Amino acid sequence: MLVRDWRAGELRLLLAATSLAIAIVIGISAFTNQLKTTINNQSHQFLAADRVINSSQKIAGDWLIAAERQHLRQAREVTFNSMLASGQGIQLTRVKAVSSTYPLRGQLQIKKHATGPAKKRVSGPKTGEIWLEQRLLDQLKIDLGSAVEIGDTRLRVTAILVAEPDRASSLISIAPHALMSLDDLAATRVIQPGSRVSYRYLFAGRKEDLSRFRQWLRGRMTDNQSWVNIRTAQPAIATALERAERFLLLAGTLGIALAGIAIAISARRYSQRHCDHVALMKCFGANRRQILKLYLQQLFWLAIMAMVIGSLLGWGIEGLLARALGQYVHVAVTRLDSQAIAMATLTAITCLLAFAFPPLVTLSAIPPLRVLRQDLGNPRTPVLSGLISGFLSMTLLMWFYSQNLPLTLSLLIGAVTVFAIVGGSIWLLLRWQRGEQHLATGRWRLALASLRRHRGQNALQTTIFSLTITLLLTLFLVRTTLLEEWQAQLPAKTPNHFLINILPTKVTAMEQWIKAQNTPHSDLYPGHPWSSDPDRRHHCQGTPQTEAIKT
Amino acid sequence: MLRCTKLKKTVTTRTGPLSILKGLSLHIKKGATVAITGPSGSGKSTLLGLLAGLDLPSEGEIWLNDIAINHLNEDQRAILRCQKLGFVFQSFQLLDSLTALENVMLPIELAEQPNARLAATNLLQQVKLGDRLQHYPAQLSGGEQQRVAIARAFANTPEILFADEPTGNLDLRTGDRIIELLFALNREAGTTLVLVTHDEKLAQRCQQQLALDDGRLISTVADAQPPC
Ligand SMILES: Nc1ncnc2c1ncn2[C@@H]1O[C@H](COP(=O)(O)OP(=O)(O)O)[C@@H](O)[C@H]1O
Ligand SMILES: [Mg+2]
Repeated sequence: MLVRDWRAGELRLLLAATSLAIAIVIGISAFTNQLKTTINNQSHQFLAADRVINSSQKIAGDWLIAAERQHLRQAREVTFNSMLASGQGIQLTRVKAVSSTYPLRGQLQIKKHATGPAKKRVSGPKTGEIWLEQRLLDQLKIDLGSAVEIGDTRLRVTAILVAEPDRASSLISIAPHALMSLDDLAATRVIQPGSRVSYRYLFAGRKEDLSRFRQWLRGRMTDNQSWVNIRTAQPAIATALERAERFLLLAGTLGIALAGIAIAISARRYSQRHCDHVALMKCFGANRRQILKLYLQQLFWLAIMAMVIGSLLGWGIEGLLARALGQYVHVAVTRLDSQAIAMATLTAITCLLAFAFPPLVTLSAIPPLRVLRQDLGNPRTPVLSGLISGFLSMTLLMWFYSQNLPLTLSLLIGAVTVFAIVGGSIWLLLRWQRGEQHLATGRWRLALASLRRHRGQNALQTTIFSLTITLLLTLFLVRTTLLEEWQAQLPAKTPNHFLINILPTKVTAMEQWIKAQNTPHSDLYPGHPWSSDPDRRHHCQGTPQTEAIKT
Repeated sequence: MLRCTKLKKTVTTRTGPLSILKGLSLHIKKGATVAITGPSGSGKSTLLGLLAGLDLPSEGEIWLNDIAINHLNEDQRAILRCQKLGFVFQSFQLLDSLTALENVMLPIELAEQPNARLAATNLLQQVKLGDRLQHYPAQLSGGEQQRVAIARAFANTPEILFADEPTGNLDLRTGDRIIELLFALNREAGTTLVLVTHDEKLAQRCQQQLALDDGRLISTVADAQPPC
């Protein structure tokens, strides 16, 4: 029967609509999850962790034990300014001593040779080693492999430090950077009572564990300590992420609504086309239960097929979305996650039960006498109750999907308003036409009469279409606004890179070099070496990043 | 074998109750061929529907063998139709998503009989459509469609065959051939045939003619006994 009906084409429509619903849900929710994870990971690289405690003193040991109890991974950083000395020179340096687990998120980039590409590392220097920025090597007039003095100890320079994940947090410091192992810190004896030191405790782990730890910390932290997450560290990124998420959510929710409408229409059509089948089968002895069973079986297989097709399609949608956004963020397209599949199952079942099941039940009630009297028992799909049940299940589904009641409610209120206005005006129009009918003549009267006879149907269909159009328009408007706001966050010609600490003797050479790069840029401004005023730095706007820009 | 007494059917319409059948009694013997004639709107189809258990009378009784079918519920009547009755309709009523073969198989499958395919193929060969098994109704002419419908009507070896104006949608010559076929198969299977028709000539070929007007039996011509 399924195969036979498949050939008839009506099932194909229903299958397509259901598959689409599932694909939208899977595609968008999987992509949103993926995007969230990716952006989260990426933004947490700015912290080198998921959460950080900033402190001006060492924190109590039981805090770390508490973190351990929550299965959080930990790392420690101690940052201080110190003089680095070589035989050829000395230089005030921003030194960061890190534990062996640093960084928890993101990677370090270093060079093992003066020339050649940078390599990625997932841990800092070993005991006895120190990594210096290139300019520090220049200022100290040493090469890789030499030793530098720091406090009471000597460390060997084993690599050139190119980038550290949480560099942004210490951007205020313009002093050159060095990275050493926390194990060597005591031997340097640079940290004395009263020295300006900042302690950073890095944590990474599952969200729930992190928030439990946070809960535990509440009331224990002092004013000199702060709890840093990506929102406090990088509010712009966090906002952008939230907006993107909300947009996708809205898109997905509207998508479900659209797919629901599509399913409702195709199911109606399907059941109308099957009236004769049912009447005939009943005439030949099928009873109501058998008919219902037959169509439910069909619905079941349809759901299964729709889930397979929809999942694959949704996977494709996810891939497309990832590709479309690929130039902004790298989103790993991986597996179909189980949450998305669960979501899809729920969507399929709800949509089919809400929209396809009622017409099929009405279908099974068709009297067999219809075989003799064609006008008999056209399924009077109960329009109002159908609308209400469809509406309710749509609400539930959208709510479940978005986990956002205000969003769901405002969408629904909008939809109901459109529905009421359009449906109501069509109804009124038809009523008015009846009043004016004596004026109409001939063919026109026939057309009006037929319109009026199917008044309920027409009003319903027109309303559904206008609803669809409204939903699509909403989506389009939201998308445009979102993108515009996003772009408006940064003023035009915002610099991407700054050049600082240019020696007066090098200024002319530098200016020539910049011109040669053919990148939009501002002029060089003189500034105090310790100035942190960004306007005083040399602005240089351009993509892709010119790795050569270094002072 | 099929009998009804004081049969009445009244339906409610927008303009009030409408009496279609106004007390009607008849008796059809096993193996007989019966024509129900009468002007359009006289209640022929309604009577056929009642006799076949597709609908229930407002008053009166219908007996099939020893069963009062007006006391059966819908499912019981469905089983009865499945086991004992066959149908041919004016508008063929083939399912257009099924092939000719599948259309004929349908009643056999619904009756959960084995070898539906084989039986259906045989029947289609009997109506000379053995080479059109896989054709869809849309690919067949009206006459061919009605032949498929006749094959389908005999598929569950019914005791009584009901035909509602089987030639109504066909031209004269095709109609004649369909009638020949129907009578031939009917003779062969020994089926009781109840035929609704406008066609006097066709009615004459039946052993018993019941003329209906305005919901009443106005004349019964029978080769055998009059109805009770
Ligand atoms: N369910 C019904 N509701 C309203 N009118 C009906 C119904 N069934 C039959 N009729 C009317 O009863 C009359 C007899 O119908 P029918 O039995 O089909 O006549 P025939 O087959 O002799 O042409 C017709 O006028 C038809 O419109
Ligand atoms: Mg009729």
